[in-house]
Order: sequence, then C-alpha cells, then structure tokens
Amino acid sequence: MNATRPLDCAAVRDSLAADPAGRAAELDAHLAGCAACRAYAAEMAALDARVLRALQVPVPPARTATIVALEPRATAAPLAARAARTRRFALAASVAAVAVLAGSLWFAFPRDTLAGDIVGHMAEEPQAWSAEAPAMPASAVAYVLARAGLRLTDGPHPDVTYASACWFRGRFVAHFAVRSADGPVTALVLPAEHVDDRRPFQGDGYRGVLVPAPRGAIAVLTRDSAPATPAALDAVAARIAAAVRYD
Amino acid sequence: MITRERFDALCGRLRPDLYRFAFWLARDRAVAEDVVQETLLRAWRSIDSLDDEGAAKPWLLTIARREFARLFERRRLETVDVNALAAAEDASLAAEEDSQVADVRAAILRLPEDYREPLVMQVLLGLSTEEIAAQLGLTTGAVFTRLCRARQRLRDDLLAEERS
Repeated sequence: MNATRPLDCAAVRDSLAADPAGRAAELDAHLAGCAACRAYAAEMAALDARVLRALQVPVPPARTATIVALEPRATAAPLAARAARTRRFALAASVAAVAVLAGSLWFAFPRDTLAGDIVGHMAEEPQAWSAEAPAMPASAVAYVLARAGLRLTDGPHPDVTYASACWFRGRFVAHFAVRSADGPVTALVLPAEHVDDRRPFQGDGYRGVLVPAPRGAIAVLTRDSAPATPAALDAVAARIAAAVRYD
Repeated sequence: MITRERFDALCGRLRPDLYRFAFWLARDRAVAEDVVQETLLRAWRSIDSLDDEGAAKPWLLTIARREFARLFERRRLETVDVNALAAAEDASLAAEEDSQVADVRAAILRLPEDYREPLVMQVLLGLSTEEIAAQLGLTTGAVFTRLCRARQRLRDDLLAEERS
C-alpha cells in the first residue's frame, strides 16, 4: 500500500486555483487543518462565482428561426473529388479555349479561371441541386445575401430551395439553388467579380452563363444533361438580380 | 439518426453556451454570431458523425473552435487592433451590467487566450480537466497549469483594480 504524501500549502493553493470545485481526499485533509488555505479556498470559490456571472454575456436571438431551415442536409463531396473535378475542368477549359478561338464559347484568361472556379465549387455543394427540398424562408435567403454584403428586396424573389454563404475567391458569396420550369438550376451571386457582358461557359458536365449585375456578376448553371435552355438560365439570373439590393 | 426537429432542439439548448464560448474566444459579438451560425450549419451537414446526443456539447465545441480558426484566418488582414476591439467590447459590456461584473469581464478579456479558453470551458461549460485537455490537444497537467495561472492572474488583477 502506498503512503500518500501530505500536500503543502503551495500545492493545495495551486490545486484550488486550477479547480475550486475539485475535492481530492488529501486536499480535504489539508484544508481541515489549515485555516489559511480554507480562506484561500473560499476566496477562489467566490472568484469563480463572479467569473461565471461575468461569462454569461447576453445572447442575441438566433439569426434564423430554425437552423436546419437554412440548409438541407447532404454529404459534402470529399476534397479529393473536388480537386479531381477542378483538374478535369482545367482540361475541359483547355479544350474549350480552342472553341473560343473558333468564336463559340468563352474561356479566355483570366475569366476562364472564374468559370472554372464556379464549376469546381459545384463539387463542394452537391446539395445545391436538391430540387425536392422545400422553399427556403425569405429570412434564410436574406441572411445568406447579408453575408455577401447584399440585401434582399421586399418584392417577389425566386423559389430558392438551397441557400448557403460560401467562401469563394477570398470572400463570402451567396449560393442558391432555384427551382425553374426546366428543373433545378444553381446560382452564385458574385458582387466582387466583374464581367463586361453575357458569357456562356461549359465544362465538367455543367453549362452556364455569367451575366453582369448592378454590382459584380451572377452565375447560373445547370447540368449538361438538364433541360434548362440558355434563355431559362438568363431568366433565373434576371429574377435573382431583381431580388437583390446592391446599394 | 437525429431528426431535424431533434437537432433544432439540441441547438436551441446549446446555442447560448456556444455563443458565449465563441464570444470569449473572439472577444467580438459579430464574429461570435458568425462562428455560431457556421458551426451549426457545419454540424447539421455532418450530423451523422454524432453517435450520442450526450456528446453533442464537446462535438459542437470542436466544430466551433475550428470555425473560429477558419474565420480568424480569413479576417486576419482586416483586423487592425485586437486590443481596440476588446476595449470596445469591454465598454459595451460595462454599460449593460453593474461595475463589478464589468470589472471581471474586463479582467477576463485581458487574459491571454491560452488562459482564457480553458477557463471558459471549465467555468461556463462545465468541462472537466480531461475534456478540456482533449479539446485543446494538451496534457491534463498543462491544462491544470493554465487554469491555475488564469485564476491567479484574475485574482491579482481584480485586487489591483479594487486597490486603485
């Protein structure tokens, strides 16, 4: 049987300072015979009560009524998959660059990087295609826009089934899935990106359009296999632009 | 499997603790709100990895710490003067509560992060030394030392304040 060495006052006070509520048998034994350490224990307990009260800062109301209203759940694609997609897109972009020369598609540097990044981002957000999800509340859409430094107008807004503030090219942007007559499309509101005029793009199984917005640009994409026409993508971009306040 | 309703209830219960933890980590209300929002979104995305609802608090704390690090990294270039931020928070908090609470808050805000974080975990969140060690990737001995120094510094700071 091991004999326990009695604690000295310094060790007792360290122990009390580390955890005033902790009570080991040897600590209690020391306190029973040491008035100075008992006073220190009381001081530490009183300090902890003050600290607890101070730590309980007022909590603001939640930004959305329910957390899960903000986003339907899905398993995120692994980063490796994203990297692979980005690489595939780079290859597709190279091929497409030839097409640019032929005057059919737009992938000229540096803006092809923007299109590539947009398509690459899709791999990170597979839930952005959830057409079955219920429409998001306006508060959730407004929250996501606010993260991108934008506001939602009071007027009608697109039927958004997914909304997420995404970190994209060094800042938050608004990422929405929107129900359209031709199936789900996904859109990125990009207030810090600039395009001079309408630019279609295609790569890695996606096709889309980048259009100028009052500030920055809006990208709307669909899958290659989806029925959404270019006109439908333009219509969604216009509806989003009308629903966003850029001032 | 945890349903949306259960998750919402869980978040409703733990959100105050999570917000306060994030606030004392960031010393900034807006950053704390961002951390909480991002934490809860990320938690929902990976809810399948939570086997036991009883382990929700440390699980959310782990996510919150990661989100704070991520946000801090993003905003590092925008942060001009952390002390000025802390002073502003100090003033706004002081206006809300009595001066004694304000003094303690100011003293906590002045603690180095290495001391403040384990103290908040222990006093506010009720984590054991072992749980704090697991969160911070430290030995229990190191946590013991930090907690001890945190309280000693707070005590000395508050005593000096009272004397002045």
